[in-house]
Amino acid sequence: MRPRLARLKRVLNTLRDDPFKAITRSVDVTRAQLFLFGCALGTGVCASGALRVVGPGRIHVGDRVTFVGGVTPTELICHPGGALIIGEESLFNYGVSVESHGAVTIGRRCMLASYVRICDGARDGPRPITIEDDVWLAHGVIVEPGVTIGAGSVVSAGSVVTRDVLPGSLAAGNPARCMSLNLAAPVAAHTAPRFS
Amino acid sequence: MRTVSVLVGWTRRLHALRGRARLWRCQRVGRDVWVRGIVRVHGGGRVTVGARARMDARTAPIEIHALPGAEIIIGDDVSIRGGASIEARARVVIGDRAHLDGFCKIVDNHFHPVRGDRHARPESQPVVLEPDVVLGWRAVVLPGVTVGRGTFIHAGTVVRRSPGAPKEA
Repeated sequence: MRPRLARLKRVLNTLRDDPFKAITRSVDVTRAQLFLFGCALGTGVCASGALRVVGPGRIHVGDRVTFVGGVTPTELICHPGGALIIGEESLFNYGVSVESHGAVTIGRRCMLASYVRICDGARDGPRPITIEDDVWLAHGVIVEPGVTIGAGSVVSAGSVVTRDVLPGSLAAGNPARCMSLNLAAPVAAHTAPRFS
Repeated sequence: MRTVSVLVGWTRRLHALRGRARLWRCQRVGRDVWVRGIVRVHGGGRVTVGARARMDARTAPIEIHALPGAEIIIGDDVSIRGGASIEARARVVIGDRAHLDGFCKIVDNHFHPVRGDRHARPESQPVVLEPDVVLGWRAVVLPGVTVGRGTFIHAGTVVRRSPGAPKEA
């Protein structure tokens, strides 16, 4: 009962401070629930644009994941026997396409920019993709099957990631190469996602 | 012959009317613009489009996103293809006769810093595309870049620094 009361209090506070924001947010949360019907859904998942969710596989979306709307819908595809797990507080821009034949895991507080493409299907069967916590994939990044991107890394715009990226590094290019940049503990002062 | 020229004139006028209707959120739209498909102009900033601009968004929508206080200036005779996206928090200028191919992206802000709080906004650096630039399919132009007159940027290129001017006169 205690967490429920706290949530009610938070909602009432938002309604008092900024009623318009409260309404848009509740619309976004409802939209996410409708689009992601049948998935294992955390609390406070919101979608301010269209989503395309396909497939009988297991899709798990963590708490407070945000799907930002835009000109193209975000796509989550999970084939039979596949698993697609998205960690808490991750942020998806529009046009992201994530496809899972085996296992795709996206960590906590990740940021995926527009037109990012992640697909774990290869010719010789799926190879799992793991994206650890606090990773930022910039515009148009393509992640190839079997890649692990370490915690706190940044992959710059238009890169194609074919090999593993070490934690806390900056990867760029096609194929993406790691630069020895120490980005460890990048989000110590993490705040709730905000965007305009 | 006369009938044909009258018909051509009226088609052009109808296209211009439709273009104006599609770009109604822009502050200023030049003569004889040609727009097909969805062009999403949003954000509340200032967007001006020059004369005879062509926007073919039949394959994917074009996004023109100028945030409040930002300015996007698109010159005369510019052609833009579907999926292209221009985002500004300060200023983006696209010169006359430039061509932006499908799914290319122009941003004047990185939107997140690499270090520290990822949700803080870094400073904006204006982007300028000089006249006659061609930006290829899926190319990305990053903040602070000035692309010189007549430069051809190949498909999939990421432009981080201002490239040199072309060698031919």
